[in-house]
Amino acid sequence: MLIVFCLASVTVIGQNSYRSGLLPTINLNQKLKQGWRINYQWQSRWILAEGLFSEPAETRWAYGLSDLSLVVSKKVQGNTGLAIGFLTRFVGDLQRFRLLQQYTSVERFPAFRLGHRIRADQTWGGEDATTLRLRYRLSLDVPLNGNTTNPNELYFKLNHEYLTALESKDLSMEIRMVPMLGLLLTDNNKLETGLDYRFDKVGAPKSRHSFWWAVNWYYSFGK
Amino acid sequence: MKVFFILILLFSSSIPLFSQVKYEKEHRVSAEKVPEAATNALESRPFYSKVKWYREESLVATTYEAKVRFQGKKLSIEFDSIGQLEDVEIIIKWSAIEDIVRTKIDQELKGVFSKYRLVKIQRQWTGNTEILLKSLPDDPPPDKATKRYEIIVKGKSEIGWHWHEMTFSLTGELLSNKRIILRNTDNLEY
Repeated sequence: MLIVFCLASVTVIGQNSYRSGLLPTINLNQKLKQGWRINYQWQSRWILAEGLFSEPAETRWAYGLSDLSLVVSKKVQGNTGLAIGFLTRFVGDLQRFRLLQQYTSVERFPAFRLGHRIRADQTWGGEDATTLRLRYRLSLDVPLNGNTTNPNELYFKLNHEYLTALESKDLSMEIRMVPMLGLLLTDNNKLETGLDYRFDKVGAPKSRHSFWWAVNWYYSFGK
Repeated sequence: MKVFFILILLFSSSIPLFSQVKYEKEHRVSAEKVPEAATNALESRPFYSKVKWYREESLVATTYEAKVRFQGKKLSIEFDSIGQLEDVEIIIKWSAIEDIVRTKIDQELKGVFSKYRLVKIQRQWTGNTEILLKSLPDDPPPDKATKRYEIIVKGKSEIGWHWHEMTFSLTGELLSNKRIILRNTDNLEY
């Protein structure tokens, strides 16, 4: 479905732009008492190629940006959580800042888990205008061996996200599709890798397609 | 991994209210990897759906569980490591329990949790293998089996929201309460 979606988009939009590269992420989760948690995240973008679909591909290897974030969350029920956080983005000499608020809910079914995330964020600083975004992400997590994922077993994860952004009175939409293959190394340590596809400015005359090869490391610690 | 288990045991022993912890790893296995006594026990039963076998490793034992659908009902038949029947469970609705027993179970739950939600309700039988399997999916004769209710509960207590596996007698008295240790959800939230 993802491939069909990508190909259909690319064939229609010769004048639209693309970016591709690497997207490594380190996710550290500190568990505290009474359902409180702190998430520390580092994410970086490394660009391998970018340009217009209608022009010959030009590859280059360049550092794009880095994000550092800290999110404090509280479990409000067994499977739902509320969180607020702060992110800072380093792009060359410029720095941008983001506040975020999120609600998450994870449903457990006999053979898979379904996660819902609603997040609002406000970004400012640097040379760009202030941006307000509202986003919804649906995540599916399916063990590939049995009904639960045990250490040294693989799982499949699919994130599907819709983002609306308001920047200088312009409203835009982005759709993301992220299929990942995960390996649970230990109960608190997992690795995921896969394609992070982003279709930005959906419906606009010139949209942008991003193809990131993502590698995520999740490590949790503390009580 | 051993250190992890020891930490869980140490932590659990420090909280009297939740003196038991259920930490279970479940793997799908083929019938060939299940003790023969267990597969033989099910061979005599006309289960119309395919039997799915799972090997479960908990903190204290390894068991084998057969999951089947029989006459529209979901059954779970658990055997110990050498293939002896441990119990049979069948998923039921909350409304299938008598009013007076439901009221008693509610009282027991209110004594443990400030808020709670029932996730899964099962009728559980233990007793003679032949009698239990022969009577499925109906109740075995009352004098031939021990009947309990096993309920998975999502509850809030002084240590926050957790999932629990709780067993109740036929009259609704709380018999056991194990806190279930679930896989973390960090990769679905961040």
